Amino acid sequence: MDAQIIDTEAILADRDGWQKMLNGCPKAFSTIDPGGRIGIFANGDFSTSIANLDGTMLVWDIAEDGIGVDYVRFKRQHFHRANVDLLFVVDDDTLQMLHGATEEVLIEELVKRANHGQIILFFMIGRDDLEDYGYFDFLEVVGLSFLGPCR
Amino acid sequence: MDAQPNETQSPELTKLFEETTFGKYKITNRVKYGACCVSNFNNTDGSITPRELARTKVIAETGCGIITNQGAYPDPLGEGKAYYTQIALYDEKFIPQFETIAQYIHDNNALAIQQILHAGRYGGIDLGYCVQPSVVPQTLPHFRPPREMTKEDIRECIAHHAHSSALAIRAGFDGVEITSFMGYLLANFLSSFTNQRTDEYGGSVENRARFLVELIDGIKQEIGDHPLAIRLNGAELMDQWGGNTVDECFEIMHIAADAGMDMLSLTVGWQEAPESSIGRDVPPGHWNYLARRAKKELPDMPLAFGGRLPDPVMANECIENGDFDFWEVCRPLLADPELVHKAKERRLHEAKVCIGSLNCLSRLFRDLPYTCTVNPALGHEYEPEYNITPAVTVKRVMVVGAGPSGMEAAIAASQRGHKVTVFEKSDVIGGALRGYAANDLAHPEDLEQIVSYYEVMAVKHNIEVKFNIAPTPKMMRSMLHEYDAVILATGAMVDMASLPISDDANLLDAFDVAKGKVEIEKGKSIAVVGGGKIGLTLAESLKDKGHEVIIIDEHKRLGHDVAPTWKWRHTSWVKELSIETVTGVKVKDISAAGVTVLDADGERLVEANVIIAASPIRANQELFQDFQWMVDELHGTGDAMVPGDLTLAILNGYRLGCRI
Ligand SMILES: Cc1cc2nc3c(=O)[nH]c(=O)nc-3n(C[C@H](O)[C@H](O)[C@H](O)COP(=O)(O)O)c2cc1C
Ligand code: SF4
Repeated sequence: MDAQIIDTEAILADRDGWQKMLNGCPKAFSTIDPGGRIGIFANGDFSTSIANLDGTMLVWDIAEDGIGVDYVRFKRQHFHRANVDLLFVVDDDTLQMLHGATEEVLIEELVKRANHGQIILFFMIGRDDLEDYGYFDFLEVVGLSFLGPCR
Repeated sequence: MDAQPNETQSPELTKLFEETTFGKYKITNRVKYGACCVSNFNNTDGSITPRELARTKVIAETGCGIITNQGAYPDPLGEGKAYYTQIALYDEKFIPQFETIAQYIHDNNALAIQQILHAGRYGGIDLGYCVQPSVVPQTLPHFRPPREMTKEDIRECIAHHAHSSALAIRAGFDGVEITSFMGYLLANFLSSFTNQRTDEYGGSVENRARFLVELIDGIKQEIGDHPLAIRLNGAELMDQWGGNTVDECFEIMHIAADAGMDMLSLTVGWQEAPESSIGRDVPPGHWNYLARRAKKELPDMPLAFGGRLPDPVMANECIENGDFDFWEVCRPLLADPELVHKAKERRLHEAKVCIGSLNCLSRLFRDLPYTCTVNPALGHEYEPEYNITPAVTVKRVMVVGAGPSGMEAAIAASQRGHKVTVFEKSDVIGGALRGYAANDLAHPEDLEQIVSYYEVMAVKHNIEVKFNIAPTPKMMRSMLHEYDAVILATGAMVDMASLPISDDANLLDAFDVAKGKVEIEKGKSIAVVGGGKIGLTLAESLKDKGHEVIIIDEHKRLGHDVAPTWKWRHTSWVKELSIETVTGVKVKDISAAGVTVLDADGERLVEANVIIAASPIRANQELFQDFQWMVDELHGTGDAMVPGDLTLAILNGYRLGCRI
C-alpha cells in the first residue's frame, strides 16, 4: 500500500478544524495561564534541520475564555519572533494526528511520538517562567517529562 | 540469629592495577578519575573554596593512576560557564589554587589532568544567553536562549582554550582534557542537530569538526609535549532529533586522532538526549560495546572508558579483553572514595556501590551543591560533624530497626568506639529497602548491594544484630541500665487506622506485600490505594507479574514523594505497563467489593478483589513516648522521624552516628 500523502498546508490552514480540536481538549491546557502561547511547526519528515526552519507556525493562544488559533510567519533562526513559550516541531504525520485528536488521543500520543522522535519540544522561555505560567503542570498532564541524564 | 561474617575476598584485579605508561609518564594503575567533580561548592566568580579543596584532597587520595580535575570554564565573560559555581581558569589569579590541587594529586603519585569545559549550548548560566554554532532553541528548560557564534567569536574561543590550557600546565598539571561531548560547545559544532552553519565550520562532518581541529592545534601550540585528552561521544543518543549517528561519532574520533589527540575519553549521551545513558535504568556495562569498537578502530590510541560501569571487576575484565586501556570512573568514587583501595586490597564486599540515582548530577542543574545518596559525607569532608572521630565517652548504644538509617547510625557509632546492638523485628537487615529492591523494575541489584554492604559492615564492626525482636516498653524496662543511648530507627508505616475500612475488606499493608510476607494469588484484580513511591513500585511490579492493577490516589498526579530524578521513570512504567490510574479522588470506603471513591462527578466503586493500602504513610513513633523515660539518651532517625527518601535516611543515620 502506498504511504498516504499528507496535505500539510491544508491541515495547517484549517483554522476551524484546529479550533474544534482545541475546544475538545479543555483539561490538557487548563493549567496554563492566559497569555500562554504554544507553537506547532510541521517539519515534513525532519529532513530540514531545526536551525534552518522557516515558514508558518501554528500557534495555540491560551486566553481567559478558551484557546484561540493563530498563525505566525518567521524566518530561519528567528523562532523568537513567533513569541511562543513552547514550540513543538512535529513531523507531518503528527500534525495530522494533532489535527484530529481528542483529549485522550492527545495525551496518549504526545509522549509516544516524542519517544519516537516525531516530536521535538523546545523551551522558548526560562525555567522559572515555565513553572510560573503553568507549563510544568501542563507537561505533567500530557506526560512529557524533561529528559536528559539528570531529568 | 546473628549476622554471619563474609570471609570471601574479592578477586585480584591484576590488569586494573598493573603499572603502565601514558606517553612519557609512568602511571601507577589503569584507573582514571573522570572529571566528575563539578560540585557547585565554589564561588560564583569561579574561584575555589576551602570546601572544594578538601573534596579535591579526597579525590587525590582515591588511588587512581590518573586524576582529572573538574572542568573549568576558559572565558572571562562566562559564556562557557554551565554550573552556578563552576570553577574558572582564564586568568593568572586562579593559578595558586590550581597549584594546590595539582600538588595534592602529585603527592599521591597520580598524573594530573586539568579539564577545560566550555558548555556552549548549556553555558552562559549568568548571562541570559548561551553561544552555539547556530541558533537552535533549548529542549531542556534549564538552559539559556541561543546566540550564533561569529568567526571572530570562534577565533577568540580557541585563544581562550589555549590560554586556559597554558595556565593549567603552569599550575603544575601534567596534561589537559577538553570536552567535546554531552552537548557542550565542541559537541555542538560537531553535531548536525546544533550546527547548521553554511560557512567552513558547518555542513560536512569534516567542516563541523574544523573547530575541534583548530582548537586542538591552538592548545597543542601552548602545551607542547604535555598530553591532550579529549572526551568524545561514542553515541550522542541524539540521532532521532537530527544529531550525529554512531558512525559519524566514530568518523569524528578518527579526525581528532589525526589532529593530535593523545587520549580518547569515550562517553555516551547528551544532557538533553531523549534516552537515558547513566541512570539506574541502564544496566551496568551497557555501553561497553562502544569502547570495544573505538579500540578496534583506533588500536594505538590510549582509551579511557567507564560510563555506567560501576564494577571494578567488570572493568578489569574489559581491560583484559582489550576493550579499553583505562577505567574512567566517576560516580562510583563519589559513592565510595575508598573503592579503588578496596578493590586493590580485595575488599570489594566492603565497598558502597553507586546506585545510579543521579542525586549528584541533578542537583547541579538546580544550582545546588551535589550530594550523594549513599555517601552522606560527600562535600562535608572538612566539617568535623561529618567525620568519624573517636567517641569521648564510650556508650552502649541500642538501635531499633536495621533499615538504612538505623544501620548507618550503628556503623558510624561503632566505628567511633561505641558498643552497638541492633534489634530488628524481622530476620534480615535492610528494612523497607528490601521491599523496594524486591519490586524494583530498573536494576534491583543496586539496592540489594546497599543491603549487603550493611551486612558486611555489621560483621566488620562487631555490631551485634538481634533478629526477630521488636523491643517493647516492657522489654525495655527489663533491660533498664543496659544501654546508655537508644536510637529509634523504626521506619514508616501505612496508617491503616486512618482509612475508611468496612469489616469485610481484604486489605493488605503495602510494606508487607513488598517484602513478600503476603502472596497474592494469580488472576486477582488489585487496587493499590496510594500512588506514592511504595504504591507505584508495588503496582508496577505486580502488573509486571501479570496481575490486573489499578492505582488510586488522592493527589492529582502520581509520585508526590518520589525524587524528581526518578518521577519520569515511574510515569513511563505506568504508561508502558498500561496501569490504570484514578487520581484526584477521596477514598470513601474500602470493602470486599473494592474501593469507593469520590470526585467532582460523585461517588463510584472501583472494583477489586485485593486492596493494598500504600497511603497515608506516617512515621512509626510508637516507642518514643515510653522509651523517653527508660534511657539516658533517646534519638530518632530516618523515616521514624519524617518519612523521606533513601538519601535522607542515610544522611540522618550517619550524622546521628557521628555525634552520639
Ligand atoms: C556530579 C558530577 C559532575 C560531573 N562533572 C563533570 C565534569 O566536570 N566534566 C566532565 O567531563 N564530566 C563530568 N561528569 C560526567 C562524568 O565524568 C562521567 O562521564 C559520567 O558521570 C559517567 O560516568 P560514571 O558512570 O562513572 O559516573 C560529571 C558527573 C557527575 C555525576
Ligand atoms: S548520588 Fe547516586 S548516582 Fe550519584 S554518585 Fe551517589 S549513588 Fe551514584
